[in-house]
Amino acid sequence: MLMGAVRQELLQGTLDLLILKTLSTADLHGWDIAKRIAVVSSDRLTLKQGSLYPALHRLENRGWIEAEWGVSDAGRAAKFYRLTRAGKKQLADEKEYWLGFAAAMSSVLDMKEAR
Amino acid sequence: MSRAFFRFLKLRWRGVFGQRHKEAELDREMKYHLDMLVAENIAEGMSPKEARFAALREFGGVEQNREACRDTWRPALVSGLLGDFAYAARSLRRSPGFTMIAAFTLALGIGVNAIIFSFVRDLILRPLIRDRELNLVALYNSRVGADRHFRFFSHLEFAALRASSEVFSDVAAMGVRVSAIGPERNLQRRLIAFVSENYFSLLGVQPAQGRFFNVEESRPGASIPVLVANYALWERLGRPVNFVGSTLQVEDRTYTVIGIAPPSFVGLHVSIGPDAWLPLGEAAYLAKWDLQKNTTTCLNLFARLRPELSLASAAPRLASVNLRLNEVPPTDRLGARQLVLAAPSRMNFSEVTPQDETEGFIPLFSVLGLGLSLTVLIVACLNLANMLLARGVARHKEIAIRIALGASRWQVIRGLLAEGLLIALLGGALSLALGQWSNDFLYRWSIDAFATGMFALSVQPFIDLSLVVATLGFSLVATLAFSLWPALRVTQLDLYPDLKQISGGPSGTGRNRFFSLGQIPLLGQIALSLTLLFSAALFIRSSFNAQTLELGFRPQQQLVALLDFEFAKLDRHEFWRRQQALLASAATIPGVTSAALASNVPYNFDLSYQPVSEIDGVHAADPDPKTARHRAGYTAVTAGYFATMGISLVRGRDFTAEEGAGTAGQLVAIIDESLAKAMFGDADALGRHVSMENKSGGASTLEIVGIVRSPRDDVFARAPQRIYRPLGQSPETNTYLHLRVSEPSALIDALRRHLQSTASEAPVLFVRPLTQIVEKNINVLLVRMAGAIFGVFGGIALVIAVVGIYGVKAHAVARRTREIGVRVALGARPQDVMMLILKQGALQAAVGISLGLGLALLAGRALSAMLYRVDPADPWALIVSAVLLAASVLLACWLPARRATKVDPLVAIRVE
Repeated sequence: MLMGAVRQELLQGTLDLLILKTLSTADLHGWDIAKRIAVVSSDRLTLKQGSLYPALHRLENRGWIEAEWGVSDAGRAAKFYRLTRAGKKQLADEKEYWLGFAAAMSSVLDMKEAR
Repeated sequence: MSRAFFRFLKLRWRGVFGQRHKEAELDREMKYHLDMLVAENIAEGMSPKEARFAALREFGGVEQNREACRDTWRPALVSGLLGDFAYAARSLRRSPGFTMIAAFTLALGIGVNAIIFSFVRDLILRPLIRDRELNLVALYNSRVGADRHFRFFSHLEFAALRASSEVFSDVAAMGVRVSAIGPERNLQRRLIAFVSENYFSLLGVQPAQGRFFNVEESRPGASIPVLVANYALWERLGRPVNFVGSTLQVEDRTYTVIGIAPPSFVGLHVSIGPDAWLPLGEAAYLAKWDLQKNTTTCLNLFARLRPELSLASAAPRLASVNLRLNEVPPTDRLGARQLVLAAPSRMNFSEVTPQDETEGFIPLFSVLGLGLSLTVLIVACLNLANMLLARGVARHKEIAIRIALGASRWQVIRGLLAEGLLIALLGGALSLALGQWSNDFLYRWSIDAFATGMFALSVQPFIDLSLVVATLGFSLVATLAFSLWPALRVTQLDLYPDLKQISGGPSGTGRNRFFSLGQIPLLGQIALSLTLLFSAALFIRSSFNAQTLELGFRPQQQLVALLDFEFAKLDRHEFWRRQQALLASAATIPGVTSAALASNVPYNFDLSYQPVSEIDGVHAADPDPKTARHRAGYTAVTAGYFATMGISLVRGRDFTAEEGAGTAGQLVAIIDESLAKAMFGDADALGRHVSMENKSGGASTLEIVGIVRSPRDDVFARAPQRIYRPLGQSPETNTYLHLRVSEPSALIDALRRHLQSTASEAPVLFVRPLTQIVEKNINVLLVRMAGAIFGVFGGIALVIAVVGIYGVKAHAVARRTREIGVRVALGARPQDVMMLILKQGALQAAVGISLGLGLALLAGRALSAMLYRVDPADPWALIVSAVLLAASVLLACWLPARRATKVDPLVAIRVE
């Protein structure tokens, strides 16, 4: 199986985590977030970029991130998102859950066949 | 936490109201992203057009994402509720008939409550609140040691009490007089009041226009002719502009109007009050009260207690005030006086402490009225529950589909509640319109009804803000209470069978079981409707009784004019000569068949009672002189009075023309049967003698020449014992001219003009058919009003019952179309189908009515004090109302049942 060649569809619910993690490194606008996810995952995780925005607004509504208009590298007005304190806590919780879940999944998948 | 909450609020707020701003931001944000994508694609070597196309593909549906963003903005609850209401509104619009019937029945229920509530508010709540706020008490003046020998206060006593400060912070005085007031030459017999200058300020009111009295005007003997008009008087005169500053006639004196009291203000009492207030200084001229003398006792006093005192805590401190009271020179031999404090009376004008007013007519009317109107509301609500239930059951499939598509039960219930709430709001709005209409109607009715009375009636705008709020409150409570249960019930379903079938109902789920929970609202409605109908029947009977009472005289075809010669300031012989001339000229008016004069008229509250002593009667020899004294209603009349009035002469003769004119020497009297019986037993009273006091203080011996049948003087009381004397032998200034004519109302204007030209010195206080005096008697009005109000309640209950039961049955029949089709296919005849539906209706009616019988009898007992000559368990009223209700229920069942018989089995079975 050629891991790099197959684009993985995003698991439901993981987009929020990706956004929170990405924002924990810097305050970014939507375009940057999409780029950064693509770069860091070596293009293995793809998303319809438009779906980023409902997720951003949902997170903002929950109080995990907040937004401010600023000037982008390209010199244009862009909306920058920043992690709030509640957002940091949420990220920590989600990360812990995800890692635990992944570890559990991999130990099950690594199980030797009985036969 | 609080910052987070504030943020949350801000977001919600923006979510609801900052929509446009957020849309623009979102557009900019997404456009930036797309632009960046396009730029990147161009950098990779695509043509601009290609680049743009690729960018859009990469980005995904712009509009979908935008909508998804919007979804995150809307606070979930609000959008959910808006959705519920939108859904409910659509659903109600689809069945306008159901919606209108539901809203209309609810509006009737809410409307009667609003109206009764406004009565209670004006009659009970407002005065109560005012009395509490002002710490108001009424003062009574009794003999020391016993709560008796009450009398009014003298002005000197008033001044002494006002100067005291131990208990009262202020004391005001009022004296009332039945007088005549109006624009010049158009006076009416009305109540006026003389008041101290602090009267209005003590009651805490401000003039609507102009000013109230000053100290100078209220000083005894001041004689400054000014008055403050009742707002109702101003309205009755057509609200003339520049009313303040204009003049009004009171008896024979001209007064300048200096102010108008605020709307609906009638003084201490409720709803009835004087037409005008005059300063105490005017009592000397009009009422001949010499207030500077300590023997002139004619003032009602009331006071504000010191703020720290209450009615109970003030009583022990009265001793020092009583000392001051007794420093005033005594007026009689009865000795020391003491004050008695009481809560201000709403009805009582007299000098004696009032009875417990919680048992009076008005509180009783209020309590029972509220009780019955609440019952009407409950009936309307039960009906609403019924209809919602029937509708919910018919919508089982729709509900099942919604739940199958993922709606939670709570969401469905919310939708159903929203429907109920919309109906309630609609009903509430409709009831306000209804209330406004009935308010206008009652206003016009009461003006008309009370125009002939002696009192000014205050009518308030029934609909005000507090009432609107109360009405909406009623609507909301009614809905929540009565749509929750149906909503809970119809959402309890078993998805699979409910989805499967279409218009036929589930046939084996206990729908035909009689005592299922679903029957409770219907049975309750029938039972309560019977109670209301029975109450209505009782009141209608009592109203009927009051109107068909044996009067003892014939008021038809009779015109009565009231003139008062007292204002003419003539001597006794002179005014009697004028009265005779008046009678003689009136008798010549074309159309008049007979004419007579009398000093009072029945049903007009002006009968005077006089002691009549036996001389040769059965008690004449009794050692206790009291038993030989009788209180008899006294009327001075001219010859021909009895024939004109239609009072039948039982024995003896009428007064002769000479006696009537006062020219014959022998003093004579005519008495009625009951007085004859009381004085002479079974013996013949003719030719016997009685003694009566004269106005001069002496006594005259009168020979009885005739006995008449007793005419009534009031609805409530029995016919009083009466004695009549010739007007010529005992002249009275108050003059009622009775004319027997064929067409009384046609002659009113002509007679008024005739009287004004022939008797210009005496004001014509009214010209009116006698039937009107009898019908507009306040007690007759009260009985009739109660009959009308409770009759309307019963009518509403009946309408609601028919409409509601029809709605329920129509739904039930529609639901059972398939079952009926099968029955018909299997050989059921139309009458079998009819019986199937009617039988159930009849059973329900029977059970509901039996339940209602007990309730109705209880209601009758509660109402008994307000009934007039009706047995509170009147079997006829009970039978009539039960039969009427049963017939209505059956009619409501019969209409849908007839439709059921027309079911075509082929169509019905194929409905699926």
